Amino acid sequence: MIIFKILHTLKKLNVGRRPGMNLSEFQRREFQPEATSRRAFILRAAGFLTTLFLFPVIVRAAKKTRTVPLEDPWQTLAVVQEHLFPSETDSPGAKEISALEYLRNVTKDPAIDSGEKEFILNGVTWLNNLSLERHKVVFTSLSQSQRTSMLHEITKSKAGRNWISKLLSYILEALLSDPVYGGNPNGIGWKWLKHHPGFPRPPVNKLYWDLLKI
Amino acid sequence: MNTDFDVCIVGSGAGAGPVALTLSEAGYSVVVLEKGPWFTEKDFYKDELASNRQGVYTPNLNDEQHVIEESDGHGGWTSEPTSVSGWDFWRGCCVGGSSNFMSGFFYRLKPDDFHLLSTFGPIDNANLADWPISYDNLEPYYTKVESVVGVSGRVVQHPHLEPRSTMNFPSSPTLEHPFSEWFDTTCQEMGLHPLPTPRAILSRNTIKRRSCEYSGWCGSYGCASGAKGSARAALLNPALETGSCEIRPHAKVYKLTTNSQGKVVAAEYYDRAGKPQKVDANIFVVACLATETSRLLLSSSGPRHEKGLANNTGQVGKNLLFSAGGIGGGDFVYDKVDSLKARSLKHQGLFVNRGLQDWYFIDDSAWGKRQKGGTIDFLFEHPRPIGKAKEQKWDDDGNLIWGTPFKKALKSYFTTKRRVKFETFCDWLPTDNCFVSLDTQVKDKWGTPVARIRIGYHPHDIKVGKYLGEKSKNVLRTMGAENIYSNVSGSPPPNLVAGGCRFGKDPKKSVLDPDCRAHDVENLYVTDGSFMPTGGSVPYTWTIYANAFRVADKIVKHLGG
Repeated sequence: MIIFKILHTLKKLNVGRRPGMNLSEFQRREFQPEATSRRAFILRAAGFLTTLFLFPVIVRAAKKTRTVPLEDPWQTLAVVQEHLFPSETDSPGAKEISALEYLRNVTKDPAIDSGEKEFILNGVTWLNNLSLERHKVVFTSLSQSQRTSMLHEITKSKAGRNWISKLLSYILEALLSDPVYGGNPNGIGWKWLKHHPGFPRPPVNKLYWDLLKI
Repeated sequence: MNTDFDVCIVGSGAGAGPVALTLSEAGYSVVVLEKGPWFTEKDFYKDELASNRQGVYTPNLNDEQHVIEESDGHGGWTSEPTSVSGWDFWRGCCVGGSSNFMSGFFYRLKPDDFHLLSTFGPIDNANLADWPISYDNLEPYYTKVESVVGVSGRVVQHPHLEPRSTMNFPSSPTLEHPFSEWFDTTCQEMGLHPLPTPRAILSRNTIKRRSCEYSGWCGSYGCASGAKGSARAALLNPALETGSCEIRPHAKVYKLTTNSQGKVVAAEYYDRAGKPQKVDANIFVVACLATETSRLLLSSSGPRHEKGLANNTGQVGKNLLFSAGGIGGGDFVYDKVDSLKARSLKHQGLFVNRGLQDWYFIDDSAWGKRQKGGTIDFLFEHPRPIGKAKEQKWDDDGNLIWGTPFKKALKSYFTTKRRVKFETFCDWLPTDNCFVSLDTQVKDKWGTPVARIRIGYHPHDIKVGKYLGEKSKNVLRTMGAENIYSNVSGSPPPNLVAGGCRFGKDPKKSVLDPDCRAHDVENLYVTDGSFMPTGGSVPYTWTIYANAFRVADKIVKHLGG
């Protein structure tokens, strides 16, 4: 039954329609919880690190500033983000829009499903395992072209595609959400895309997770 | 009988607000039970993340969901819980309901919408039925909504203009974008009748609320100025001022209990802590979203209502309606229109406010006899930069793009053009394949069976939707838009839902009588969109407001007022 449902979900990536509403036409397309397993990410890989094992690392890393070298999973995530959304002379990249800081906030966000957070972090492990298998080094030690081909390789799997898609989504949130959420410093993303935010803008005590307490 | 309240209302949206206000103004004690939280203007910011993250304005789908049944394409049906598909059928679960987040495109129905069956004749496999009331019965209440909720607009003569008892709207239209004038000129040259779309948005400070502040972020966002005519701002706040109305947020009603005579005696609900609570009242009014109203009735069986409350003839949940039609749009590329237009297109904050009802009825020889068509609304793309940016990460073949090509696509999308969209609204014909039942397996976080919604559509809906889509595209083409597209499918818009408890004179074919009182429950009324036997070809909110005011007057009479 469950397998049937999964297959059925995959068949329909069509978009929703909500006249008068802006609700995410992208949302349904993005939502592929079934594609968050390691098996779907890569078919063969050695080693498996559970999220439980990852969490202490995250907590330690989160306390550090960028002047100290990042620990994984953040180091890998930063490199992947910068690969997906590079800094260029005429436009901000992941670094300038504070995409990593934004993503750290996402992992603390009570409104985001724990499965989604685990998936993002597990993806780092799977990516590094694949990198070790192919090149004997972790992803961050690969050359630019090796990184490109590895990311393209994982998009051939559903979970891999889903993982990159989610990372891109959070990069875009860092680019275009209100700076109060930790990305888009000084509206750098808005300026680049000539976007005018609506007003009133959310103050620091009215972030959306504060609304959950009402 | 000595009860806690004279009237207990389940739900707090467009169907509930008019009842709460009318009854409390008449001096009756009213309690409103709302399962969501109670936000005010002080909680509403133009925050796209708040608007789109599950769990903020709508429940987390793991806690509360639906099961959707779709055609498998081979004559059967296949079902899927929305926690698996991500296809969210909620919108605005909080005090005031989804009216907090509407765009407020307000159109009245036309007189012929009240008797579709006798005017246009039957359509095979469609359960068409005339309404038991006429436009004349509802007209005074449409007018009342204009002044009490606050509808701004300007009456323009056109071939399908419905009769009005007043010359014009109480407030002039909200400020309009330069695009609107350009649109008018083109449409007039095409022999069409461009209409200023009436909006449930105040264009001036009045009725104790502030005017629109023109941030340009309206649909999907809560209104920080109070200008938007949500049930909360326009009706529940004044109801509270009477001192006779109490609102209980985080009160999830799971059952209406009936006595041995079949009367409702109590609403049972879970409070925020998950503890069961109970309210008794003389009259119970259910208005908690068409799908949920049917679900609550079906969940409320009792000694005289073995198949569910008001369901002795098996009609509850049947003939559910969505809004048929589609969406589309086109791009105005700054480099390809004259520089003045290009400059004006970049202007933010003002409304397009334009619609066409030239094809509300179709007199086209290719269609044979005169038929029902619909409404087209034109608007700028809703402000959701993150959502729009996310759409750019897929190329035309559905592959992910990133790096420099992706950034180029983003830059181009945001800075070289403005997208104008259209939304078409047509009748969703009632059929045996669109209904609500209780799921036998999936339950919500309180352990109550969730609504199982079969969403079959009638092929005629697609035909009308496509017809209007072509007409809309033709307008955009004439205006010089590029990349024009339209998308018409049988996929329902979850934010426009009605039916399930149709009103009518025959208890065998309807749930409610013409006063929207249950045929077989003397103290139960339903005042959300559930009552509609057919939905018309406009967004439902104005009609829901108007009918709820009408029924509220009947309830006042029922109580002896």
